[in-house]
Formats: sequence, C-alpha cells, structure tokens
Amino acid sequence: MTAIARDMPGVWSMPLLTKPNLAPIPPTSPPLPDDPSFRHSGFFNLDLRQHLRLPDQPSRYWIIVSMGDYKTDLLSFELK
Amino acid sequence: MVLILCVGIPPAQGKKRAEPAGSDSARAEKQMGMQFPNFKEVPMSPHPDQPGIKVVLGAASFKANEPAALYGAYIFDGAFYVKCRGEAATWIMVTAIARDIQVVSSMAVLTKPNLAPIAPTPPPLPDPSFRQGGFFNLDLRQHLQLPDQPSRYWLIVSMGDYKTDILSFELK
Repeated sequence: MTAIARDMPGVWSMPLLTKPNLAPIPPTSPPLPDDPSFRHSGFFNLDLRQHLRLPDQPSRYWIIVSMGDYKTDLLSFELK
Repeated sequence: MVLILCVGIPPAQGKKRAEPAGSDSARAEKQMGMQFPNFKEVPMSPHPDQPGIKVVLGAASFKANEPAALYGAYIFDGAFYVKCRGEAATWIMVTAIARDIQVVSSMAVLTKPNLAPIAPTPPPLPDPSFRQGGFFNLDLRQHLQLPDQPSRYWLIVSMGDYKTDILSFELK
C-alpha cells in the first residue's frame, strides 16, 4: 500500500506483510490450479499511521493498495 | 524486495527556464539522445492548459538498457507557490508500483537538502492570476532505481493536490 502526501512532499509504501525467510522462488512456476473456479482470499485491517510510519504532522493523503495486477482506486484520507 | 522511499537523491541539474518547443537544441537533443534528468521543454513535453501536472511516457514498453523516458510539465497557482515555497519540483513525486514483482519506488523529481526552514508566517498570496510552471524529463529506470528485471508498472505523478491519472509501462 502506498500513501502519497498532498500537503508535504512525500510517499510512504509498505507491503501488508513481510516474510524475510520465504523460500526462494522455484525456477518453474507451479501449475495452475485445475479448477477454473479457484479463488483464494483474506482480510486485513491496519492503522495506516502506524503501518506506514506516517509523520506526526497534519496532511491529506491519497492512498492506493495493489496486489499484482489488482489495484484499488485512489482513495483520500486526512490526518489531523 | 520492497523499496520504501521517501527522499530522493538530488539530480545533477537544477530547474532551468523552458526553451521554445521545436527549437534546434531540442531537436538536436532528440536526435542525439537526451541526457536524463533535465528540466527543459522538449518536443515530447506535454502542455497543461491550467494548474496541474501532465506527463507523457516515451513508450508503453521499454527494452532492456533503453532509457524509460518520462516527459513532464506542470503549472501551479499562487496558493501552491506559497505552499511549496517556490520549489515546486521538490514536491513532484514520481511513484511506480510494480505488477510482476514486489516493488514500489518513489522519488521526488528534484531534491534540495538545504532548503531554508519554513517561515513561521507564510508569505502573502501572489496575485490570483499568478501562474508558474516548468518541465522535467526523467529516465524512470535510473531515477527510481528500478530493479534490472522485467516487470510491468503502474505510474502516478503528484504535486500537492495535483496528480496524473494512473499510467502503465513495462520494462523488458
């Protein structure tokens, strides 16, 4: 997720979750799941101020959250 | 790898006044290979017709070792002039979000580490008709220090309350 400040110059970005000890990516991709209806999902809930380590000064921000080819629209929020 | 960047490396050149579009020097630059970054108007420069920021990608897809050219132009009003203390280029943030690898990279078009502290009282607003602008031309690969591996990216460029649409490009 990426927050772009509107009232000061700055951009803050952080993955939802980091796992430093993930196994190396295998040279060949795993096969696609057989079932075309395959879906997988999850939830996440964050304090943006804390997660992105946003500065302790008022500003409005745009935020975009992406996951590979998927992305949200640009949303707006303000920290007072 | 995920890059988390808030502050950039100062480019070598400062802001420079625009040269006329299609000038001999601009044409020569295009023919001879442009040096990035630069802050000149060039034949590929967009032209905002009101306060805001516009960018044009040199291509949708860039070959390996080819500069990933971004041509930009901006115009701002008196309110933003006061907000950015006349240093608009230091407020222009270029952000690339990778689609095929886990990378987000962001950098100001220009950084000036020794800007004077913000005055306790803001200067008075200039005339309502006040407008000022400039140009910037970057190699995205170099400027954002994008990794040397193929990926598609989304790109957004912002300057205070002004922002571009979300664009797409690919590095082969």
